[in-house]
Amino acid sequence: MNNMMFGKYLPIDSFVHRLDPRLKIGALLLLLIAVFFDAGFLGYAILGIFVIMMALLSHIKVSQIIKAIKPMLFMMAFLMIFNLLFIQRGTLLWSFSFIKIYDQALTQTAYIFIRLVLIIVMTTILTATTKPLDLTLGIEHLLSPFKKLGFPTHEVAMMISIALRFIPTLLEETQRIMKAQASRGVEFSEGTLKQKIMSIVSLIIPLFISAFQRAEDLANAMESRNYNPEAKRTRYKQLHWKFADTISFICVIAMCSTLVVMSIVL
Amino acid sequence: MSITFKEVEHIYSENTPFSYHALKGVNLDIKQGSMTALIGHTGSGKSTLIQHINALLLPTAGEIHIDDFLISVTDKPETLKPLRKKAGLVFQFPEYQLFEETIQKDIIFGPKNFGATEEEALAVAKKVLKLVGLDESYLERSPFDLSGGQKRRIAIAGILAMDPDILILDEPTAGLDPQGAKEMLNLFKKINEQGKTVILVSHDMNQVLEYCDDVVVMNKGRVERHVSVDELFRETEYLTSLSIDLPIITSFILELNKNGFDIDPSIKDINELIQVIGGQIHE
Amino acid sequence: MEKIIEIKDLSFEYKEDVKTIDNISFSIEKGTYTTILGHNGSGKSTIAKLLMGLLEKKSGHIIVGGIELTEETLSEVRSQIGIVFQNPDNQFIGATVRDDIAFGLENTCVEPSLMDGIIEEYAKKVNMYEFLDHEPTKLSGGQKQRVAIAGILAMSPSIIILDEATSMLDPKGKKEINSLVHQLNKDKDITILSITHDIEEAALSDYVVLLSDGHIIDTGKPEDVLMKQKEIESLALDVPFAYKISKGLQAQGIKVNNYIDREKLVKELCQLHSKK
Repeated sequence: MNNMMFGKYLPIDSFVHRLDPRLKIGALLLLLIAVFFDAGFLGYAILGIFVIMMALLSHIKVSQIIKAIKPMLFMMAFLMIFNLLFIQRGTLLWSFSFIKIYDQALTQTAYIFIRLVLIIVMTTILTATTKPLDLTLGIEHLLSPFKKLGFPTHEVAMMISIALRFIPTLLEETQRIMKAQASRGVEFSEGTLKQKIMSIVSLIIPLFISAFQRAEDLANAMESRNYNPEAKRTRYKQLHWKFADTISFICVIAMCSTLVVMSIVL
Repeated sequence: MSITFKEVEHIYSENTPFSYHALKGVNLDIKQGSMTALIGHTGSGKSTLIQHINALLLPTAGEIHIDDFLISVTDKPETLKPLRKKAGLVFQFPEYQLFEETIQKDIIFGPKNFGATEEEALAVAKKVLKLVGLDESYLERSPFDLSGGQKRRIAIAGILAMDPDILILDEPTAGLDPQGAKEMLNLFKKINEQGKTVILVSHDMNQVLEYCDDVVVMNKGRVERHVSVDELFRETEYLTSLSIDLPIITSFILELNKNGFDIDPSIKDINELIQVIGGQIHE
Repeated sequence: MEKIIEIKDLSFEYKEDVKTIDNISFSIEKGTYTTILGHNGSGKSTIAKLLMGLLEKKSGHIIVGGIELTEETLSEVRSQIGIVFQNPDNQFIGATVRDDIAFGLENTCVEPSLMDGIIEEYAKKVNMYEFLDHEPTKLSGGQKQRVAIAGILAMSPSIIILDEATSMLDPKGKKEINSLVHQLNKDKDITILSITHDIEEAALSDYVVLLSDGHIIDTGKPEDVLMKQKEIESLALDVPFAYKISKGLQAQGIKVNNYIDREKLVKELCQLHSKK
C-alpha cells in the first residue's frame, strides 16, 4: 500500500505545485475530455509532448510515473487484449484458428494504450502537485455555483477533508486490530471460505465500532469549537489566482482546441 | 518456558526512504515464571519487541528462542502459529478487539481458532470469566453493553482462554481508574503466581515497583538494563537521565534524604517507610 | 469572588429514569483550578458535555459567565469555554497543526489575513511553533493535546475544561500538559476545570468536587475533602500519599500535621529531623 504512487502528494516545490488548485482541476477535466477526441497519432504526439512538459515543470521523476502506471498494467493489458480480439474491421493482418487480428484493431488498441497512459500521468501530476486539502478547497470553489441550487458544497468539502485526515488513522487502526486478532489465532490469508469470512468479520466489526466512536468524539470536538455548518464561516486557506494561472489556462485551452480542430479536420 | 533474544534487529520498511531501525542488537533472557516489566519511552522499541515474542513480527536479523520454537529471519509465520497460543499478547485498549454478539462466543473465539472443540472452549470460558472477576451470568450478554473496564476484562479473558504460558500485556491499565487498575494488576499477579511468565509494558513506575520482579529498560531500540526492580530504583540518576518518573514512594524518600534523612531508596512498602521515618525522627 | 460557572439542580438521564446526573449543584469561582474527582462511570464526563451543551439536560440550570445556557445562548457560552477531550486523535480536525488551530478561528469568522498571526502566537505559547506544518500522524499524544490547547487559546476563552485530557498520555505528555495548564491558570487567569480520577492532581488544585454515581458527595478545598479517608475509600479512590504518611507517623506518636501535598510534608519532616 505504501508503495502506491498514484494519488500521493509529493511534498516539493515546483511551478505546477504553485498553481491554483482550481486551475489544475479544471485543466485536468478539459484535458481528460480532449484525450477522447480522435486527433490521430500526430495529435497524441503533440498532447504527449505537452504532458511531458507538465511533468517536467512539476519535478516528478520518471520512476515515479512508472510507479503510478504499474498498478494499472493488469487492467490495461486486459482492455488491450479485449480490443485486439474483438474489433474486426479493416484488413485482416494475421489469423490463427479463431484468433483474427485486423489493422484497425491494432490502431484502436494503440489509441487505448496511449489514452490510458496519458490519463494516468495527468491525474498523477494533479495529485502529486496538489495537497489533498487544496484539492478539496478547489472542488468546493468550483462547485460553489451549485450552492444556489441547494447543493451542500461546504458540507461535501468538509466531509472529504475529514475523510482524508482520518485515512492514515484508520489504516493504523486496521493494522492494530489485525494483529490483535492474529494473536487470537486468526489467519487472514489462509483457511476455508467460512474461516475467511470469520476473519474479515473479526476485523470489520471492531473497525466500525471504533470508527463510530471516533465520529462521535470528533463531532463533539467540532461542536465545542463552535462549528456550525449552516453558519457563516471564514476560510483560513485563501486561493489566489495569479498571472501564471491565467497563462497556464490559456495554454491548456490552446492545447485542447488544437486537438478538437485536428480531430475535425483530419 | 524461557524467552531468549540473540542479537535481534528489526528494521521497518527496510531499503526504503521510510526505513526505521526499531530494534538494535537486542540480547535478552527472560526467566520462566517471572513477572517482568518492560519500560522505556514511547518509540523506544517496546511494542516492536513484544510483537516478536508471538511472531507477529519477524526479526530482520538475529534469532529468538521461545522454548522449542526458533524464530528467525527465514521462518514463515505459518509454521509459527502454535506460538501465538503459547505467548498470549494483549494489545493496548484490547476492548477494541471484541466483535461477537455474546461474551461467551468472543471468549471461545481464540481457543477454537487453535482447534479446541466447542465444549472444551466453553468449559475454559467459564473458568477464565471467573478469573477476571465476572460471574457466569455474563456469558450470554453482549460485550458491547458493558462498561469500558468490564469490556477490557472480557478481552483479556479471551486471551487467557487460549491458556498461554506467557502473557504479554501492553499498557493494560491505560485509562482505568485507580480501583480498576489495582484489580487488573492483582489479576496478573495471580496468573503469575500460577506459574505463568508475565511481561508487563508500563509507563507507571508505581506499578512496576509494586508488582514486578525484574525490569527491562529500553532506549532507542536497545535493551539498556535488565535488572531486578530493587536494583533499578537505586539507579535514580540513570532513570532521571531517561526522564522516567520515579515511583511516588522512591521520589519521596529521595526528597527526605536530600534534607538529612538516611533512608534506603528501595523500600517499597509504605508502612515500612513510616516505621523508618519514625525511627529516624525519634533517634 | 466572582462565580464563573454556576450549576443548579442539574439532572440528566441517558435512559428514561436512569439518572446519570442526579440533582447536583455547585459553583466555580473565576480564576480557580477546580477538579471534579470520581471513578469511571461516576458521571464526571457527562457534566463536561452538559456544560458545553453537547448533551441536553433533563432539568436544572447551567450559568456560565452570567449567561444561562439555552439553545439561543449556546454559541455564546461555547465561546467562553474551551474543552480538551480524552483521545488526542479524535479531536484533531485539520490536516496540519496550522489548519487545526485555524478551525476554531474559521468558525468564529476571524478575518483570514489575521489568522496566521494568531496561529503562530498560540503555537509558540504551547511550544508547537516548529511543528506548524506537521501532520497529526507525526505527532505524539502530548503534542496533539498541546495543539488542542492552542486551538482553544486562539479563541480566548475564560474557562478551559480538561476531560481526562491526560489519561491516554505517557508520563512525559502528562507532565507537559499539566504544567502548561497550571501556567495558563496562573499567568492568564484562565479558570481550569479538570475532570480526573487522579487524586494527586486533585491534591494540588484549589477546589474539589467529589462525585459518585451522579451525586455530589462532597465539595471544598482539597485539604478538607481529601482527608476524609472513609469517604474517599468508600468511593474506590485512594487518599493522597502524603496523607497516608502523616497519619502513619501520628499513629507512632510523632506530632506532625496532616498533609496532602508531599512537598509541605517533606518540609515539616525535615524540620523535625533537624531539631532532634
